[in-house]
Amino acid sequence: MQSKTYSSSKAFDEGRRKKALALIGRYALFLGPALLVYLPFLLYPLVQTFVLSFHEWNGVSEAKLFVGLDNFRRAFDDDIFRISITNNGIWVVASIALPMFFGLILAVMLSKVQTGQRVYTGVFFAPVVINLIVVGLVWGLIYNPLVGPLGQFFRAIGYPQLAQGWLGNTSTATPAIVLAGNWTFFGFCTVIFLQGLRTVNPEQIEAAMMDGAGAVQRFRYVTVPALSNQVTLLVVISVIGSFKVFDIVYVMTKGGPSHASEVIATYMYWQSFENGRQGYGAALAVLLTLLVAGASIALVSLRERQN
Amino acid sequence: MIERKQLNILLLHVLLTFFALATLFPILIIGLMAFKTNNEIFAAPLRPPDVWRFSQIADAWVQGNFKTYYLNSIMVSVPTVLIVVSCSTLAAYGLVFARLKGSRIMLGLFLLGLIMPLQAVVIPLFHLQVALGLLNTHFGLVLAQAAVGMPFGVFLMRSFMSGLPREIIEAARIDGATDVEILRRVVLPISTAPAMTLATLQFMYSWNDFLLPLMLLQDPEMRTVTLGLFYLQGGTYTLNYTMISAGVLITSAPIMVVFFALQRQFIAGATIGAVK
Repeated sequence: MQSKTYSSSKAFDEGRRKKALALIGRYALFLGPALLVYLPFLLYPLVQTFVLSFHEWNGVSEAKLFVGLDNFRRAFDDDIFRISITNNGIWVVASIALPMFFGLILAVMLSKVQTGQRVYTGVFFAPVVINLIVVGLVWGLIYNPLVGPLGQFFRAIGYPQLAQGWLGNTSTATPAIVLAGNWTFFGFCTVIFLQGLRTVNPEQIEAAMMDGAGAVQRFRYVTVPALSNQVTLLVVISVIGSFKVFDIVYVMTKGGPSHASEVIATYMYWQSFENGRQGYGAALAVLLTLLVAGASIALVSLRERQN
Repeated sequence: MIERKQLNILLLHVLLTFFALATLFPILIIGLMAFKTNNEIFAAPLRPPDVWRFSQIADAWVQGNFKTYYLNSIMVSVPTVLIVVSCSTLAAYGLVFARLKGSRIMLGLFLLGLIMPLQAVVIPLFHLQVALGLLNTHFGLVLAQAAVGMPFGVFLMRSFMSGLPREIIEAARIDGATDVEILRRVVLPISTAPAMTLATLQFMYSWNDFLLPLMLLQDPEMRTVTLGLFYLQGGTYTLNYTMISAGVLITSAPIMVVFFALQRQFIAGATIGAVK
């Protein structure tokens, strides 16, 4: 050790080189494996989608025609794209309103019972973990006019005209799918609200009771404000999920009938892989990405702040 | 006063039970269908079967090719989980402890994948897999799913490791331990809990994944359970409601059993995974 000296510049260079090599080695060792999968199979396609969105391409031919912003211009004149984005809007509004409403009510009820709380929670949460293809098939059968229990119910109470194909009707297809989608989300809201309710200070409730606040007032002025974090979180998650929705729509109607239940993701898939307009499909993917990324950034920063 | 409170609790249980039954109603009613004949289904959709025909489930298992699909799903999910958990643990250690220059930029690169929808990559991903000869292979699907899962894996493992006390790591380093030794002897033994959460979530994602198999596996023999179930309704069995409902039962029953057995971990994991 005593002979080791850094006085000569050669040894100094040697030391720097070793350090640089060690750094590269650590990079390769720790980040290499993840990047080896991530760069070619996610980041590269992501960049390619943006590039493709400025081109016209049928997905097969050699040549891609550069068309500038034409694909984006076309999207704003496209009636089906308008239907799709409206349907995404319906998803957003419905999945904020219904599952959060039921989730809050169920969470409040659950927080007041001790026995069986775990079982109830499990049951409400079960639809969250069920495969969306299963959900789509199950609800497709529920709505089936011939064998579905819904049709049977309407026939039994004397309204056979309501025993219709809910998914085959342009005006009812989207609400029918949205309802099935909401079924997979309210249990999630319940669990999040239940976690929030555990943090509500019981002393505040008692103080409100002393002041003569009724149950509704206590709920309105003590419980609800305490859940504001959970509400924000669920709203953002609903927005992201409602824009990303694909599986359940594709299984139940494939976006039909005549594109009535289309959402951006299914329409993008149809244009790219069934209609052979991959440049346009890529442009739709870019628009979807901007919407989802915006909402996701909001979610991530929200989570960081809450932790 | 006490009686009134008990009455309230009873009322709550009645309401909660009602909601619980309403939640389960769709699954139960479709589950019943699997044991009925098509004639029984048409005649009275809501009535239980006259005879419980368990053999119909076995028939659906064979006719629906579910054995192949289950094996295919395992061949895809298990390697994907292993790749994501190991690679993102290494990467997280690198980002947090390995004194890498530019680690913030690297983290940003991974986070980019966390905030975008799958649709942002599917078209070029498809053509890339064609070009590499990976189309219709499980390996190609594994690579695609692992790439999609990596950002969340890195994010989860990194946020866990950032919370570890830096003093232990520095102490080990002063004792002359290399990064590999620190990772193996110090960090890994205390990282099993987040790694298990990640593995569970990634397994669920991989098992339930629909869009990537739909695009990348066009050969019917290569289909995963999720994809196989999807094609059950489009193909020969469209009007065979017994077959479809048996398929639903076959694919969701194991997941439900695991869910109710590991309910706590599932719920904790899914609420963390909501970032995805």
